[in-house]
Amino acid sequence: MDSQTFFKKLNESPRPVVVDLWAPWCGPCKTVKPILEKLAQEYRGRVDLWQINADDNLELLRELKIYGIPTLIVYRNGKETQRQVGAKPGSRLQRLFETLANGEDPSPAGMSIMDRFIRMGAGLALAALGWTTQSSWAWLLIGGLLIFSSIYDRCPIWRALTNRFKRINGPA
Amino acid sequence: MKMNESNADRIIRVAAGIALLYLGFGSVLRGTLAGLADAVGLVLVLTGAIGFCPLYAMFRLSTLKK
Repeated sequence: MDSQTFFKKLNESPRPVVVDLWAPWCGPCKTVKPILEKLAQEYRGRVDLWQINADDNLELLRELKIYGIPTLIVYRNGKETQRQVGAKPGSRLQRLFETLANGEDPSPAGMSIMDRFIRMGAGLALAALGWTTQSSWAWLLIGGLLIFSSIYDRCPIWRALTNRFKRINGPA
Repeated sequence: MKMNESNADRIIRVAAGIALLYLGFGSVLRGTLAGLADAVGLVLVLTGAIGFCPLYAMFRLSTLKK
């Protein structure tokens, strides 16, 4: 597919589009491919999945500024709203499709605003319960963990720590 | 862990869970009943917060829109 056709089709698409750039020789792409295909089946009619072989579309790759595969690009109304490089766990991909199908924009971690709201609300309620009933510090701790789980992807300390961990455990 | 709860399901779980925990810890209920309310309440809050119910998964159920 040349880039002109790609962007024309993208602008005409009434649904959110997840573009998966893959290659037959890429191991992580093979891991993600069946998960994406299953999700595309599950969310058929609500979210579209376009799988593009990177080897056959070098011009498009240059146009999209793709520097690594697998890369997932999310488009809504023809505009890129998110880009994910590297294989992501199935739960995160499922959350991404679910968020898009509900008409929401996904955050970098694939968490919707509603998801954050529910986690934050549950955490605050548990912490408040622990505080007011003076029953146990465990409630405050669990509440705190739930609150953190709603914003962890925005926390710079968490990001720095996980990046460091990835570098240590990554391929040499 | 694949999500299998809709947003409405999650909100109801969290609200019901908090209510049960309040009954258990707020000295409204006593004895075994209080312990039971706490246990069920905590499970409801946690499953609601993460959006995944192991029981649903076991029976291949889901409240997510298809």
